[in-house]
Amino acid sequence: MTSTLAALALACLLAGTARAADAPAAPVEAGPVAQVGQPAPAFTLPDTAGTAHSLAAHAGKTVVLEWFNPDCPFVKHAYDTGLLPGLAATWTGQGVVWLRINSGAPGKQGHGAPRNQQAIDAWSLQGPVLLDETGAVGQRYGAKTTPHLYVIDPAGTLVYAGALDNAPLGKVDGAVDGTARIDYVHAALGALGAGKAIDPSLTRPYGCSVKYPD
Amino acid sequence: MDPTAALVTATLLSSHAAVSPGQELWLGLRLEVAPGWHVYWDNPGDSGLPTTVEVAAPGLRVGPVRWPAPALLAAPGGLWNQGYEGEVTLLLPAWVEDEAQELQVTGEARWLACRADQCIPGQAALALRLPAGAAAPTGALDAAIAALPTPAPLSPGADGLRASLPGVEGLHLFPSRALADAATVQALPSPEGTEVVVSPRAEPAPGAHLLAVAEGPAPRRAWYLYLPPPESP
Repeated sequence: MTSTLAALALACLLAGTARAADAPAAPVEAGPVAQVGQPAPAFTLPDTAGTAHSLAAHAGKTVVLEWFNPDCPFVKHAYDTGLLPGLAATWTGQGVVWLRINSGAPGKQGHGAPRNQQAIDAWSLQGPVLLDETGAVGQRYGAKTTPHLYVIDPAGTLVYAGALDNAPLGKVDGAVDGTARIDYVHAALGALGAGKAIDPSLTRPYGCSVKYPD
Repeated sequence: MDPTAALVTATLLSSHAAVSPGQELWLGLRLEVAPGWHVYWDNPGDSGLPTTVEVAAPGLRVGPVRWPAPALLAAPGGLWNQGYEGEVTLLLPAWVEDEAQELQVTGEARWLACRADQCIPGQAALALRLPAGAAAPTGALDAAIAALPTPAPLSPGADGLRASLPGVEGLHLFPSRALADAATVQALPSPEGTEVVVSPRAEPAPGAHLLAVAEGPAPRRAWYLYLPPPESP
């Protein structure tokens, strides 16, 4: 218990230090666009309260990254009428870390700590929304849409990238994968938990464009 | 007020005002998109959603959409989209069955309208009555039909599928979603003009095609390059 408290105190101290720093370190290590089968790029981003979150802190756990914009109709559909809240709650209940990342630039749709905190409250989201105002983390991961989802296995390897499902706005896109609904992320997490191959591991994301800086 | 109403107006049109048994005709979904906004082609690119149209009538067979050439639209962050601004008409080939009389065509169109800072999905119910009678052309779709990309087959070659476009220099290639997921496409200069090469990585799904659009000012020449039908056993 004492060591846990000490670790917490140290973490707070470190977070405080990071926030106090005038010129924060780059949010993500430089390198080529992330690829499925390769190590997931490390990053550190602030949440809506300004607390820093790093991917490295979740080493040894399965992590889902969900590119997020609370004012994008595809995101709104997934939360208001779709299956995303239940999906996220189910998997976080099983120890999966679910990080939403908003790479919208200042002044763009769905940007900023107040709006994203409001979305957390309105949709009762568990876990933070991380703010990537420069778009550096989004560009490093090749995030193109909201939603755009990534699954990272406990070893830190990117094992899935793409769409939430094959049903944009709830309507199955028959031109891509036939007529049956497929929940790609749910299937990937299930396969990962069962030690099976993830197939497909790469799908075409759909949705609003990520609102990167001009 | 429905905020999408002003963004996109959808109308179902016919190449002919009346129909008779065995007749071939075109149906057309005309979308009038508000200035500054766009809707998407079959393959929307880095984001977006394909426009869809489904129409049906008892006694009428309707083929898949024949898309006009899309425009390449840039978005911040190095993202690219493929779609349409202003007015666009999606054509559907149709055939009247032998026993058919008057046709009540109904259907639905869905689209995603976007501008730089936001996207709004929209849909419209479509209806068109085509009385039985002598096939009088309406002229409503003439311009859209004339602007259709020219069909040309891709022929199997040693290193994939090829199509030769003589006298053409500078092409944008637009692979459909079904083709983009299964193949790499490239345009190579040739002594005669341009050679389009399609290198499949997997079996393309039915309907896989690409549009090749000549660079330069509008109206730009365009080709609809389709895969040869599978050989019958």
